[in-house]
Amino acid sequence: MIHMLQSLIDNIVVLPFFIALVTGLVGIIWRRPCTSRRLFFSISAAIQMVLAWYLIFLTHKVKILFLPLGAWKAPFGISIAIDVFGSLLIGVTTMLSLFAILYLFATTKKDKENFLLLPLIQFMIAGIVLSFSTGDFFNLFVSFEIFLIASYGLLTLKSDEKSIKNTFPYLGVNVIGGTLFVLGASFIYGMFGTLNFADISAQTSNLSQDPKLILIASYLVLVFGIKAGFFPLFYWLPRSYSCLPPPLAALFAGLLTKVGIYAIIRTLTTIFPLGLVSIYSAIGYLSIFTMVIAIIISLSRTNIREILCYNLISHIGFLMASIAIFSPISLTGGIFYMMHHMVVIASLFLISGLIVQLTKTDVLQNAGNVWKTHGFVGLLFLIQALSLAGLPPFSGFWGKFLILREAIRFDQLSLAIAIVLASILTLLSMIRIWFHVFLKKNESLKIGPSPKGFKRSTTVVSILVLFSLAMGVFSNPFINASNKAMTGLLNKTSYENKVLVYEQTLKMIPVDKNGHSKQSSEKKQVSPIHSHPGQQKTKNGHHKNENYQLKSIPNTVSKKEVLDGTSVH
Amino acid sequence: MINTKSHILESVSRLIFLFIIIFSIYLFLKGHNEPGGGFIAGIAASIPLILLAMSLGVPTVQRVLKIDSLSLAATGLILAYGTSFIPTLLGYPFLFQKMIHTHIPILGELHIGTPVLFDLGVFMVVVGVSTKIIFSFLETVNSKEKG
Repeated sequence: MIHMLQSLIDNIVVLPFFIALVTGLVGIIWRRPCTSRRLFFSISAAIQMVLAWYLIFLTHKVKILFLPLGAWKAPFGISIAIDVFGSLLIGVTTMLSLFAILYLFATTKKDKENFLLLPLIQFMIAGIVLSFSTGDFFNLFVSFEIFLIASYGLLTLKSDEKSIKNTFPYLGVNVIGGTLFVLGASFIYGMFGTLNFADISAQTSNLSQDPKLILIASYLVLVFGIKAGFFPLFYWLPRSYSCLPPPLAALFAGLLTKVGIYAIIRTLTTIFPLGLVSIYSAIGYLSIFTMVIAIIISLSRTNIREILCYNLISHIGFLMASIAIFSPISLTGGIFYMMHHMVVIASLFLISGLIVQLTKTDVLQNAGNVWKTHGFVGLLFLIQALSLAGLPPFSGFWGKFLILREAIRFDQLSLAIAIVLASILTLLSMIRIWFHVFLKKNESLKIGPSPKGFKRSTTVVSILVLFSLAMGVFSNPFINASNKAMTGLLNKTSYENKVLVYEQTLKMIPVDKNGHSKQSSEKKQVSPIHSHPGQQKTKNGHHKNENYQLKSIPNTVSKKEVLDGTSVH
Repeated sequence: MINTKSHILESVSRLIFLFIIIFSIYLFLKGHNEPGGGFIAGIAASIPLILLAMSLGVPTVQRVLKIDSLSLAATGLILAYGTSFIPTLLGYPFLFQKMIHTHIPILGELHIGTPVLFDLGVFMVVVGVSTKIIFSFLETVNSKEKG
């Protein structure tokens, strides 16, 4: 029994993904919507969340959790490797999925629930969790497809004309993006003969000036940029997201674009050598456009959800800016901002759902009066809106501050100006919603007593808001965690060592009855580079330092430095 | 075309049903080291089902199948994931496979292992999903033609 538990804990990195997937499958077989089915789904989501938080705890102790699937050693088999960065994102993802499911239960009637709804959500979460935990390019593609296919299903679940029409551009863009992704994976395989992150990283460590490498890296950034919603490629996003019901919109907005950003960060730190300056500056220009143009469009919208969608895109620009500066502190800020933004934008979408429940409309002109009757919703909205705009006590401030400070420190003035401008305009667009929905007196609109399920959904949202408030007020542990995540990302040697030189706790080499190990026969055919991974690593360690182009990259930025930075001004 | 009953199509699809199923089992068992396996066998096995659905109508085939296609696919995936999960309780990594290699007196070498169960899961998924897709198309076409 203890052995079983121990071996289960050794395999813990696949468990959040596995549980989500199996829950979804059970949901397909067990179709009749009833209370016990809902209970089953929420308990499963809660277990996933607890497991994910345990993962965060574990990665803080051992930095990287690694599992070679099927006992195939790293460059050959698929490796699952979760570092601090991945575990933090998995933690937020599973938390959001739990809250979205609870909100969904509070607002939809049991008999109106499509039986595919909950399984598809679980499949989407499974895909997202897998993409945060995988250490292999092709597997990353597979996980992208898992959550994309689930998201197509979720978008067209109503199967009315409007949702199909609005899903079509989403489908088209993502199918093209997926094709480009596979092509990219094949280019990588052609260049390096491997798809394993650590192996690519070991082979490319002194190639940061190679034009071919820069080309493939920028190609991948483009592919993931389509998913993330970069500047010229975002038109599909608001159209499709704004036709979803609020809890699904919250999940989509909170998670899907962030997976693209995650993949970009992973590509530019863990996989490819640091110091691809030309790509960073290209991302910088794109981020300026993304931030400013999207937020200007959001000012022209008259529909709460579309305003939020354009805000979402604009804030993807902030994350891109943190990548563009590419200093340790800016990346720390970026990671912190990513977690903050996942929670905040999701809760804003949920709040917009509350508003729609009350006023029966999400067009600004027709809304009003909410502050008088339901002040608490107004309070929730205000907290999250100010947090999104980045005002000091709230969580948005810290990430934005770190990014802005680094932009100024590295003389990227245009970036800094864009950040400030976009923040001010964010505030403006939030004030528009605030004024029209909460303050404005609208004689023609009567807000009756709270609709059914309103109290429960408000409770769910307020817990989420409390979490985001805690992120702002007690920001220390969160910034420390992001800092640790950043250190793990930039310390490539330890990732390579962990994955390629695996000291296993699990039984590894499969031996058949005649005593042939399956791997030993395969190993002989592979190039001799792989035979001494440890040796190669130390060599690369030297090369890497020469190629490091940034001004100050300590391997570990202490918590103190980050906090001193914030206390200067 | 689908609604009008074609005797030729019906009798031919009844006739070749068994052959294609047997061929798909052959493909399935051949799979591990040679071309074949769960996916191909699943595709092959869904062809006669689709043919029957075209000749006899979707409801008949669904009645004969007894299990809904989507549930079949889900069960298959659970089977596949179940076989990959069991090693995690026994001290092996997820997705670990064990092969057995024995000599059976008259029949010859037997090389079999847990991947067969995994492949069976894949087989069920492919049959379930492909029949689900085609059946829903057929149903829409039929309902359009009727009214």
